[in-house]
Amino acid sequence: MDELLNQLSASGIRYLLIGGQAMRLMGMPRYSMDWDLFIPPKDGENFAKLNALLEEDLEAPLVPLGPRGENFIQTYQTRWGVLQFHLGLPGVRNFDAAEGRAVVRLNENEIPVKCLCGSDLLAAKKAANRPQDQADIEFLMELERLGKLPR
Amino acid sequence: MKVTDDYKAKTRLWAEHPKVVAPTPGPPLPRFKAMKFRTHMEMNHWKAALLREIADDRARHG
Repeated sequence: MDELLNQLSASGIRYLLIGGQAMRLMGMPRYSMDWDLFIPPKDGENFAKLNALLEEDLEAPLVPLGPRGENFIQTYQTRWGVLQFHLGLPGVRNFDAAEGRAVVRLNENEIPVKCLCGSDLLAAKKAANRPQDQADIEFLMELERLGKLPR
Repeated sequence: MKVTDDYKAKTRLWAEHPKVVAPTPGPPLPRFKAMKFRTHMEMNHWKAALLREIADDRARHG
């Protein structure tokens, strides 16, 4: 996955890591079976770059958000693991604003990864509010209580 | 009682000393086709079914 993360940065692809892997990069020991990436829903140039980069891995191309919410989440099994592309995120108004608040975190191999900021992650987790989100919410709220939740 | 027996205490410890740990390799996944969803609810239903399939397979074959 490190290679892909480096390629995403090198290609200037707009993405934000969200979900369980983003929680892990905030310091929560946590398992996740997939990599969730929030991407702008209608940025044609970004879709072209992503499809070119992942050409060998995607059995069908990534496509923009449809007029009736089609393609909101697109899931692929790749050599990097399961990649899930989210074209929207509950609790976060839009990609552009979230991108402006993004935080670059280092993974366990010191690879920089552009992540949804802590406060947006908390807002998204609260909005989703699934049973599996509760531990993440508690961790993020504890970080907030300690003054460690970035923005 | 160990402090780690208390989930809230564990969360507090993690938050006080956040550390990025390498991802744990999960079980091998069955092959599946690319999927597109309109909502998180649709995706969560699909994912829950996939996890049940993995769990059933593990129970059958160890």
